[in-house]
Amino acid sequence: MSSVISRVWCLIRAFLLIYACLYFGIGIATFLPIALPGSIIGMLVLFTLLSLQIIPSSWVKPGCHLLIRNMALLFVPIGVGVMQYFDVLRAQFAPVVISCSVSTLIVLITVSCCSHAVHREKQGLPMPKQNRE
Amino acid sequence: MLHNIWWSLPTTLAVFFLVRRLALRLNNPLFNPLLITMLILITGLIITKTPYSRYFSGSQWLNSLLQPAVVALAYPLYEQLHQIRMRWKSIMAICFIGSLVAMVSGTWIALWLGATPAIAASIMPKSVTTPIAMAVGSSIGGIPAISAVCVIFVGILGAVFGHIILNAMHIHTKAARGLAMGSAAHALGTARCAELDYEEGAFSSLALVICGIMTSLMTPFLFPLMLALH
Repeated sequence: MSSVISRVWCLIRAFLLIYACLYFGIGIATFLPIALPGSIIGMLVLFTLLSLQIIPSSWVKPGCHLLIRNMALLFVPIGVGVMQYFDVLRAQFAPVVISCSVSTLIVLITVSCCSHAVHREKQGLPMPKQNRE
Repeated sequence: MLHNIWWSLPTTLAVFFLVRRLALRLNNPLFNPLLITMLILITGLIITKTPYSRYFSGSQWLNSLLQPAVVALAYPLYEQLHQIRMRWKSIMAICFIGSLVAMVSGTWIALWLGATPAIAASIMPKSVTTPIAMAVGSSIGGIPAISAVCVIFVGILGAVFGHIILNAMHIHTKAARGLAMGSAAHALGTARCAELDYEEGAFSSLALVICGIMTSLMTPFLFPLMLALH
C-alpha cells in the first residue's frame, strides 16, 4: 500500500514540475518577439534545471517516461482533424502531397547522410589505433 | 451511437491501446498505431455522421497533454547530455542544414506545382512540431489548419517510412537515425524513435527542438525571398 502511495506521489511531483516548467515557458513566450511556443521554452527550462542539477532527474523521470512512451496517442485527436480538410486537400492535392512527401524524403536522406558521415567518424575515433596494432 | 461526447475519450484510448498491442505482435512498420487509430476513428465518425468538433471536444484532454509531453522531452535530452556535449557543433550544423533543406525543398516544390502563396506558406514549416508550425505558418500568411494537416501528414510519412528508408540506406548510427527522424518528421518521428530506442529518441528530440527554433527564426526572412525568386 505504501509503495502505491509513494509511486502516486512521485508521479504527482513529476507532473507538478513539468507543468511548472510549461507555464514558466508560456510566460516567457509572451515576451519574445518571435513565434516560439511556450512548450519548447518550457522544455529548455527543464533541460537547464536538470543539467545544472538544480532538480534531481529522478523527480521528473516517472512523469516524463509516461508522457514520452504514450506520445503517439496524444496526436490522435489533432490527427483525426484531417477529416475536416479533405476538400482543401483535394483541391490542392498535388502541391501539398507531392511537396510534403518529396521534401520529407530529401530531408531524411540529407540529414542521415551528413550525420552518418560526421558522427560515425567520431564514434570510431579509437578504432584506427587498434587497427594499426 | 456516438451522440454523447464522453464517448470520445474512452473510445480513443481503447482503439489506440488495442491497435498498439496488435502492432507489437505484428511488428510491421506499416502498421503504425497512430495511423491505424486515426483511420479507424475517422471511418467511425464518418459512418456515424458525428461532427469532428464533437469528437474533439471530448478528447481535448489528450490534446492538452501534448504541451507537457514536449516539455518531458527534456529528460531523454538530459540523459544524453554527455553525448551531445561532445558533438555540439556538428549537431547544430546538421540541424541547420536539415531545417533549411526542409523549408526550401517543400516550399519550392509546392510553388513549382502551382500552389498559392498561402498554401506554400502553410507548407513551409511542415517539418517542425505542430505548435511551432502553426505559429510560424500564420506569421508568414499561411493557414494554420493547413499547416497542421501538412505537419501531421509529414509526421506520419516519417514515422511509417522513416525507419524503412534508413534501414535501406544501411544507416545504423543512432545519432544519424535520430537526427534524421527528428528534423524530417518532428514529434511523430521522435515518438516513433523513442518507441524503438531510447538513445535514438534523445537525438530525435534534440533535432526537434533545434530545428524548431531555427525554423521559427529563419522563415520570416526566407519565405519572402523564395516568393520573390519564384
